[in-house]
Amino acid sequence: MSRPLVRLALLVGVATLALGPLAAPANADVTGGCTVTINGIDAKTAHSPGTAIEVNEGDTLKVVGTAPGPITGYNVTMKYGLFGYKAKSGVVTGDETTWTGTVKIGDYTRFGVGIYRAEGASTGTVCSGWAYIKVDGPFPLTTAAGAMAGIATIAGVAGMVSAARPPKGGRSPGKGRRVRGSIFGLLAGVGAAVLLQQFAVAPMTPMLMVGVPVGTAMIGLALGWPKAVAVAAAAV
Amino acid sequence: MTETSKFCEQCGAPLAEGIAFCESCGHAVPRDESTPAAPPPAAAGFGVAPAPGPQAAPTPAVPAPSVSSRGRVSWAPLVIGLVGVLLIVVAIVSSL
Repeated sequence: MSRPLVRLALLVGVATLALGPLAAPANADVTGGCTVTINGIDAKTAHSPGTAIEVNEGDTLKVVGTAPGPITGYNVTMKYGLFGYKAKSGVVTGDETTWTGTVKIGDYTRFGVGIYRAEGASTGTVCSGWAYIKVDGPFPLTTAAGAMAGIATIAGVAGMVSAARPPKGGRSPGKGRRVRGSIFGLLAGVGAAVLLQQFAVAPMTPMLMVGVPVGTAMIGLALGWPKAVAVAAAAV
Repeated sequence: MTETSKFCEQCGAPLAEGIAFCESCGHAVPRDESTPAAPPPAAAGFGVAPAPGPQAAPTPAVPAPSVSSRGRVSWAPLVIGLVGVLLIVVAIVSSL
């Protein structure tokens, strides 16, 4: 095996190892004999985009948790890919085994619509659960997040196409085209991932947040390769 | 072309002195007329050195893709692109 292919194989291996944990199943299922409901719906039934709990952007999310023993507090977290925002937290006194947290949807989705992940957890007797919520509102491309994602996707794709075109006059060496293709590919991937989330096609999971931009960056890198189009044609 | 190019006509990569093929894309480098005597091209009209190998075939107007100066095709862009596509598909499917 030639040295470049060995390097490529190593690159793919490292990328796979790095991305593997991102694809692992979510760990915040309802555990420990507890229940978590969101707007009266059992969280366990809303673990896919198709079964997401539908709310409007002006609604309030009511999260109720029940534990088999006394609890001391609770947290409600809104997750977006690798990021999480603690939307609500509270202290529970006495021997209560139930907690309730309310979150105004608009406070956390003001820049867009689509699918988000809501998590609820109690302390003391530890219980946790999560569900996808689908926020309905204006057309995704008219929101701040959707518009910026659309522009990023178009600009990224245009840059990738530009990087794939043969240079003129020796002004753009091959390495520069590959770098340009990768950067614009990354931009297109970030935009595409946000669009998928905004249009409620897929939730913004860590894997989507990282995998799509890395994948499009690799496509951009390939397109910026000298004669990449000819290589593809030869392969076909 | 009578001048020695500083950059490859095909991919724009910088060219070292005296090389016959671009090290980046494999495109044949036109020879300077002042260059010392070299084997004549196998066919008129292309103005390039013969390709390496047992057959001294002329380099076509559109050379083979990503042929290195050693005459090997680089499949790296195709492999990288396919891995990228695969990664996108896996990322989306695993999120559904």
